[in-house]
Amino acid sequence: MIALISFKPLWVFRGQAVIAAAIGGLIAGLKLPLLLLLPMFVLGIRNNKDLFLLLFSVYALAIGYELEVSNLYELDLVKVLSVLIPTLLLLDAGLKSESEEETRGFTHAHELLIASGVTIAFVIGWFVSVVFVAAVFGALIYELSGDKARRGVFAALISSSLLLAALVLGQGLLNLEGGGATQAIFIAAVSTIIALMFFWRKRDRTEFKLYIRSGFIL
Amino acid sequence: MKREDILLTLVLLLFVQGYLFRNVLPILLASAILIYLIYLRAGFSPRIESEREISRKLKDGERVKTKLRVKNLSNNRLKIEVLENLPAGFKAERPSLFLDAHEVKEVEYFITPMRGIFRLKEPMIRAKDLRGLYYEDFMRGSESAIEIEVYPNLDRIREETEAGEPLRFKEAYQSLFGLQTPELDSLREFQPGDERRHIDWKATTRLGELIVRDFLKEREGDAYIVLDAGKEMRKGIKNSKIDFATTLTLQLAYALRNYRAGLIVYDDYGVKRVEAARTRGIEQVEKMAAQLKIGSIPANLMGIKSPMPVGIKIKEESRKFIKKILPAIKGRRSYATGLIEAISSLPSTAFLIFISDITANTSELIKILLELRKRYKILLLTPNPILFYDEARLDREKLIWLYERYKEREEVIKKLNGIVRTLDLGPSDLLETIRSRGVLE
Repeated sequence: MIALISFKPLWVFRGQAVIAAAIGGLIAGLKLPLLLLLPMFVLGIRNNKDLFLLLFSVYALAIGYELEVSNLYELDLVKVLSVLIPTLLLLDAGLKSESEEETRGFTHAHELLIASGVTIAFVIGWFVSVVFVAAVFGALIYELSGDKARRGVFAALISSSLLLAALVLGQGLLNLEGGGATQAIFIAAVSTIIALMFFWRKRDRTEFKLYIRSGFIL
Repeated sequence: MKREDILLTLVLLLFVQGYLFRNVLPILLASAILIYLIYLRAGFSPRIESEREISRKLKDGERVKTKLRVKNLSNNRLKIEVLENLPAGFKAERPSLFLDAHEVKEVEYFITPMRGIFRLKEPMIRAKDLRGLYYEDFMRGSESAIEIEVYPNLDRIREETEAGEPLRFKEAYQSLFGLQTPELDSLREFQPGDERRHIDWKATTRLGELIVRDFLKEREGDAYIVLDAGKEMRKGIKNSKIDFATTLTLQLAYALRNYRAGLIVYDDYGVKRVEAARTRGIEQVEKMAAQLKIGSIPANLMGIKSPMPVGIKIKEESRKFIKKILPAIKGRRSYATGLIEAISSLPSTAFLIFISDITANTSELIKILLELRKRYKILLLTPNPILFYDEARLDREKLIWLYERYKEREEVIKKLNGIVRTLDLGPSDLLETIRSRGVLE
């Protein structure tokens, strides 16, 4: 127990994200992307967000290369979600900043219980995929709930609802034999239009500075 | 490139990958990342309030603690960075902290100021989202700026002085009278300021009092003291610069009694008196002393230029015109100033000691010194008007004004030092030496 208390919550979160991505990847039968998880974990711990982003891009493209879904309406939802949600969890864990409080260790008992519970659920999920998906989804919601970003949640809900609605409405046109390319174009187009709705507002964005420990290389 | 652009590029690549490979999964992943970005973008709406506490009176180069109270008015947890917008030359730490929704925190950090009076703006607060993708800067308006006064740091000045950075008068005094040769000139009584290693112990035991050896000097030739008795030097009721300058001249004359020393006194309108360097000894010193009958101007102003009264402005053309006609009105023979006339009275070779105010006719003085240094060895002694200011008349405004003049003067001194050796003197410089040698009596 004392040993667990000495763990830093954000490290645990990053560790959980990597474990989730690994288990999810194994459930989906991925190989190559899993090799990138360890360096991503190290970069996450070192708080090197820029290099992490690059590596994450490679990881995401590798997933797309290895896992194939030819028809959206005939997909194995558990298998797809066991890859998608841990990937988002991994991205969030890698980008999240570490505050002073978070480096001190767990301050509340319930945090420790949740962290332990989620990890156990991940392991059980190895055998029961649905449990895994539920646990990962729960972990993602729990992490995002800390932001208290009501507008963000609202925007995300609207976006995903619109996308789902578009897919449901377009099922008649899209659900065809060999219609993967059409579905891809359709989802990309709808996602882009939805994104444009929220991207019109100008925001100051952080600079991307790729560097290694001794200095900048880009 | 921005961090967000990396993710958007990834989204685009996944779209392309999905289309080319007829694979829906990369498209779904791209959409998920896009929704994640929408969540972060829409959720980031920071509002920050800050207030800084800092002492109004600081010391040059001394780290001062500043306290900043930051309040997060938004519902988001934020990472805060404090970016100081300080005047040039200031240094500041760059603290960062995390703020929960509606949380108030105080952060302490250090600023290292440099001397002067400045209007210090509130720092810029950069609120970042926890993922480090977006930020927003908050800065209060210029009305929140406060005026701070940064005074010279006495400890620092003392350290610099101890380190031997400024030119010391004693060094110049020694160099003025030339390097000593090992050849013995004469023996005389010990006087305060003499070096102990020059005491002749045999003569001391024989005569029962301290006797020192005088050595022959390397430099020979005429030495001329060129004394400025112009308006700027004569201003003041007490502590006038001319009083000090005449005392200094006498002391120099006495110190140069073994040389052929001369004196030229000039003012704004021409050369007043010349005592050519014909003989040496006390007799010559007395002759020079007789020439030093210069009174001070009983004015309310001290020996520095006063600021122009508010509301009176003279155009540049008018200024030039007045400058041209003024000598004629005041009976001067030509446009040439007293200084130009004074140097025309000099012999072809001599060691020159200028005692002059450098705040009036600075550019003319610089031009002349640049020309003279080709033929003469020159030392410029200049009474610092700030050090002659009457303490009883000081108030805050005058102090600020004096400080500004002091800084300007430092620049001029630096410039002059690049041309000839220049010494800035105060009222107490050399006075003790003169008194101890009985010259004033």
